[in-house]
Amino acid sequence: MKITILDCPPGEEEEIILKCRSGDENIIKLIRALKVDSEMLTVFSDEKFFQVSPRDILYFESVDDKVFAYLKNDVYEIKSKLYELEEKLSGTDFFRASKAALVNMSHIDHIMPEFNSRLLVTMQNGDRLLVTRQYAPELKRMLGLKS
Amino acid sequence: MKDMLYFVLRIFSTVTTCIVCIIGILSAFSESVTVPAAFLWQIPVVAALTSLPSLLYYLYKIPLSVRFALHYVIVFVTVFLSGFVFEWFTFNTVGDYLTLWIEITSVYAVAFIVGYTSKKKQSEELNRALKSKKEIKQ
Repeated sequence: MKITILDCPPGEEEEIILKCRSGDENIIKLIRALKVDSEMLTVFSDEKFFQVSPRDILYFESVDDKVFAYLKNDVYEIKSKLYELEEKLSGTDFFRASKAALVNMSHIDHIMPEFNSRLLVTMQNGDRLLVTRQYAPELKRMLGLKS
Repeated sequence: MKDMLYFVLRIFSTVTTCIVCIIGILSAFSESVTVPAAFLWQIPVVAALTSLPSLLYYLYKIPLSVRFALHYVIVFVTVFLSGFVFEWFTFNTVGDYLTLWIEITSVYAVAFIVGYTSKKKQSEELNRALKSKKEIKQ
């Protein structure tokens, strides 16, 4: 695939033009990733609403039917369900770690294998999350390893 | 829950198979070793009792070394008491206790070394892949 990067004159809006055949899975993934990266998610805390970029979110966790977005130093609640976020963020660095968590791979500090084919990921803020046996192959696949 | 059940059942079947194999090998090579009929129910009972403490490994917030030590103590006490109740071992001297302790600890040491080596290798592979993925993105 040929990649052409053109200089953007100052003051002009940056633009990405894709010249491709429709239906190419890799291109669809790329479009999704580009869209998600520029999209913001609405989260809230103490009845105040904020806009955060998905790339700043370390992980989402569902606790008692509520979904929380964990950033490096803050925790916000988000109205979306975990499966909706999973769908919205597919093709990005987010992956399902368990029934209750969606993790951003780019914010993982290190990974430790656990018993029974599970993985324990330590996030950059020190939080530790378990990747269950069911979802561990997906993380390995994203890392380019044999599941 | 399903995951935990699968894990315990896997340990149970491994322990049962190992005990049966060891008894089989011992009785094949030594005429003095006889297998009482009661072993048929005692083996699964002991296997079940020694499999349940494996659930400790699900408490991932406790450091692995602590879980391993706790598991070792519980399994050692279970095997020791089971052997005593089912009259598998005869304890006449301090040496008999010491032999049993050495046997159980040796099995643990081998399991620990094998498990540690395999996990270390897997951990290195995972973190190397994670690092290179991050470098590509940057």
